[in-house]
Amino acid sequence: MNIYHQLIENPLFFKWIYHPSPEINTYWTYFLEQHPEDAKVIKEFKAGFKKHLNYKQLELTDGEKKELALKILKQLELKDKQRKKQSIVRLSMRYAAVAIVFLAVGAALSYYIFQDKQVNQFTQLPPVNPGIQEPTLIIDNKEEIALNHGESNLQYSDKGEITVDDRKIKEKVEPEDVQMNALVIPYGSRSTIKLADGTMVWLNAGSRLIYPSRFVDKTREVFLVGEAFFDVAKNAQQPFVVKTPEVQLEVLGTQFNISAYPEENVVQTVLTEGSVEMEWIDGGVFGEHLKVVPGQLVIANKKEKETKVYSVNTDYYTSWKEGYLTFSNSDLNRVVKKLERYYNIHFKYENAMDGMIKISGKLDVRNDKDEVLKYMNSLTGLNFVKINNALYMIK
Amino acid sequence: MNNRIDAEYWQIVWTNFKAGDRQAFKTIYNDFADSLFSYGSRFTSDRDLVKDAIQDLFIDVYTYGNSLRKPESLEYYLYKSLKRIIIRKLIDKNKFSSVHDLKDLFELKFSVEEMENEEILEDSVKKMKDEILQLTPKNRELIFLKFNSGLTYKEIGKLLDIKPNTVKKQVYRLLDQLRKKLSDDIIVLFTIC
Repeated sequence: MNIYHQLIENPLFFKWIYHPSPEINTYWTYFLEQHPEDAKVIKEFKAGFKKHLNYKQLELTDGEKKELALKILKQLELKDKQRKKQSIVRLSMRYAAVAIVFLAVGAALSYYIFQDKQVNQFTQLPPVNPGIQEPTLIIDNKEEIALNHGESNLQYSDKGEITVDDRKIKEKVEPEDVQMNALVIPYGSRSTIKLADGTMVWLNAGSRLIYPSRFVDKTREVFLVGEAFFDVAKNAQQPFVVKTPEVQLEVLGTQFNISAYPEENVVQTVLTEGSVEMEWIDGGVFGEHLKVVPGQLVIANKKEKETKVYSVNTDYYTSWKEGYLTFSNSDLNRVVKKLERYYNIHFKYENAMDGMIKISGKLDVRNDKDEVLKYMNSLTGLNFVKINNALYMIK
Repeated sequence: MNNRIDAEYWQIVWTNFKAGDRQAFKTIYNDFADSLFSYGSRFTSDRDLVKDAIQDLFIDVYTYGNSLRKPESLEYYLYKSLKRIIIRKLIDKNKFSSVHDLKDLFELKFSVEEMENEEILEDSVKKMKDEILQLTPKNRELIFLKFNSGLTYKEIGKLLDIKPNTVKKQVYRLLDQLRKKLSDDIIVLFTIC
């Protein structure tokens, strides 16, 4: 694109000519400084418009603009009064929406929420629409911000600013202004997020994380459905709590991975650093707290309310955040499930027994999925055959 | 400037506005009232009618906004609706018997059209003048929207019921003359893609 093209395709160029404002002028002053080689052409092009393509502007006076705004606002208020009657219905709909979300993530969760006698901040959860299929950030149940497919990156500052993929979407807010935010990452995408306290979270495909824009309570509480790796910023005065529908983990400052997908029978927690205390949400296992130390895997069986502790190579459980999957003597079923989430595709077995095959290896899932599946062919001795973009057969 | 970011920004404001956020109303109003008025005034010299139309427009957005799924862009929705409201008002006032009479109704004169003294005008400027004098009201509306809004070619095309590519060609044909005047080169840097 040459410079003329660029200017014609930039609405701000025309704004500069026909509707200049201090902001627009600043933008172009900066632009010209950054592109000294084009400055002459740009200025001449602009002058050409001014001279030959000028036209009479038909504008509202400032007085008219204000008057019109007031008229509109007045009428909007009238509308609001008419709406009031409906609002009671709406409010109950809101709660219904919350309930639907919980049903969607498992009955245990709604049980937990409505049993909880404390005024829990999660009772005011943004009603995350269970139908969201796109990576989305929801701020205070109002703003829905579409995120990149694949990888996205979010940062919260301690002043309440939000940056998404290096783009600031929210400026700092008043200290008392704390909102609940929800990060929804469907199959096929992943995200990292730096929370306001400096804690880093890697959110895996098919997960949602709900958290406050700032941590002002005694504990730093977040809510997770799905899988995430946490690198928790140390703060002994304000423990960090990860709640899932079944278990909750309390930590001071540590690194761990937790996998709590609603469709799985177990919640898996792996600790790589520090220490974690785990307990069942509804006080199972005599309300005991289970202490987990680095190198341990805790498998919590949701149905039996039983926990088992194993010593493992934690890499197998955390390497997904670096973009590869490692496994040793794992069921093919488990590996296939991970690939389904990672690429947002489905697999069907021609022979269901094949899912029991044990395999070991490492998959670089950042590669093209067809490459990865070719590698799966050689690893398993089976054929991964593409039926369409969303479906593969394992023969 | 990234148009995508801009579109996303307006998507957020739009969502907030639909949720009843007054600040979002103010943002939309402050950013669009002037250009909407400027656009509306090309159809009629009746200022009050245009102001009433803008008022109706914002009430409509507020009232029916929730039932609108994602509009292509907030801006497109505003322009399209304002035009519809103004035309309806003009018909109601019996100024026109049908929408057909409105096709010659876009008042926009460029400075080059008023230039006289043809001898001293450069060739390219003369050509630009000829080009502009031939513009139909619809094409003038097209140019106006390109100069005064952030609408895409596709959106302008939809608004005027012409193909997006025709919109782009028309814009470039006109501006190519201006570009030629500036550049001594006769090489056409300016190819329409």
